[in-house]
Amino acid sequence: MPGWHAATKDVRAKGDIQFLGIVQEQHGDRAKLFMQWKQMGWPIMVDSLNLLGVTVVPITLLIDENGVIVKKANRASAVGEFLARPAAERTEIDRIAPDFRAMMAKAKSARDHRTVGDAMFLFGTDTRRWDAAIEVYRQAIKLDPKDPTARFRLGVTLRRRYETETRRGTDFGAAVDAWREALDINPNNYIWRRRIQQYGPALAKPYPFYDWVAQANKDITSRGEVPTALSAPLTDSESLSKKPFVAQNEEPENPDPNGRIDTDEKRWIRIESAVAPAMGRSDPALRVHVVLRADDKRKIHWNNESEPLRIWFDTPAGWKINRSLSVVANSTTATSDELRRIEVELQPPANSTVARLRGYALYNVCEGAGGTCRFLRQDFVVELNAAR
Amino acid sequence: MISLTLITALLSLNPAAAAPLDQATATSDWAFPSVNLDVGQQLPNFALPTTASDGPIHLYDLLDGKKTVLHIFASW
Repeated sequence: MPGWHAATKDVRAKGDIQFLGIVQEQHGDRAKLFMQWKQMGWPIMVDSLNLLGVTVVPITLLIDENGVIVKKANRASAVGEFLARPAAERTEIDRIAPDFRAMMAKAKSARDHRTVGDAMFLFGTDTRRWDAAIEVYRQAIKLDPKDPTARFRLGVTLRRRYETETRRGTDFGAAVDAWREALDINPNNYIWRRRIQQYGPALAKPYPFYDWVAQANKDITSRGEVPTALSAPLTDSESLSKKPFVAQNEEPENPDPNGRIDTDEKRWIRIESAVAPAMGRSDPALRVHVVLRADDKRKIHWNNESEPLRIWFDTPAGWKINRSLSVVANSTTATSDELRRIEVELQPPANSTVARLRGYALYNVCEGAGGTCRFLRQDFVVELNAAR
Repeated sequence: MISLTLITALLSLNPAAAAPLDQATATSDWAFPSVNLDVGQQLPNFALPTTASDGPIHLYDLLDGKKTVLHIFASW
């Protein structure tokens, strides 16, 4: 794409031709950052739901004045011939938008409900659209459990809600589950597969998906610009290279084996988890994402003048883990309330694919400004299923 | 059954409030159109959000009657 951009600089400057992108991306601002990095200023439509139904990318099309596809092109040299074509006579094209109330009133089939979900995702104007779209997609799946498209779009919408204030702690995990179910029904959609691989284990990575982000931020900053902020911070899994699962050599010391640290009974910290599988592989592995959020309603914050956050996992019998103990470094300020996350990978034994992963977090937190500070423990459980 | 919460949300969602859609006709027949990417096919006037807008924009508002190179891609 940058090659096309450079090769057509002059004709674009003259206004003879324009560029338009449609990106297949969960988070559109990733594409916005990419375009800023490559200094490509043309408009980008964001097709998170894969409404175009494409199964591969990239696709480059030459479009005439009436929106008719003239050629599928692999090389920028095709533009010269395209520009020499006489201009097509323009026709007027209608614009339509959904009437939610009327659509819902007549929705009967699974497809009707899926369409209402699409409409809400695209045209809804407040945060409740995610709740509404999720419920309608779920209704579509109930009516037609074999529809993989509704499941994929449900996953996209759950993951989108997860980045908003209306999130449920289970949204990320439920999104991954919905994508897995879509792929179980139709394993051939490359776009859908990439979405789950984005969060999956290293051995299932075709390549690092977003390893360019760090360089992009650096280059943009060095130009004196402010890089596009990402609404969903990158998870570690999104920048990983493909590599085999490697179990830890030796188990580190369990920091609280007998549970002597006081339990966080008031749930000052909320712990969320999601498990992304390596789809379609004979050597299964799982990547477990654990997210910790300080309860902002009670003004809970991390106490960074104490020991850092630690997370311990008891490896299920027969399973292997790459890291039993994770430590999250404190922020440089005395207190902070940022989201904290860790990721670990596990591999099941040959004779079992299901297990319950028990873990706990140890953290130093304070309540309110100048309020009580405590060192607390919170236990949690993550359900593992490598057969998924 | 769809829940009361959803119905309430539905009634409060107003697509006409999105600025780029001022000239769009709201209809119960809306569906994202089937898109055929074969040579010779005319693209339907679908609407999608853009990296510069929260609300959806119709394709033909971006094509604007000009010859266009359309890239369908991913940044991963």
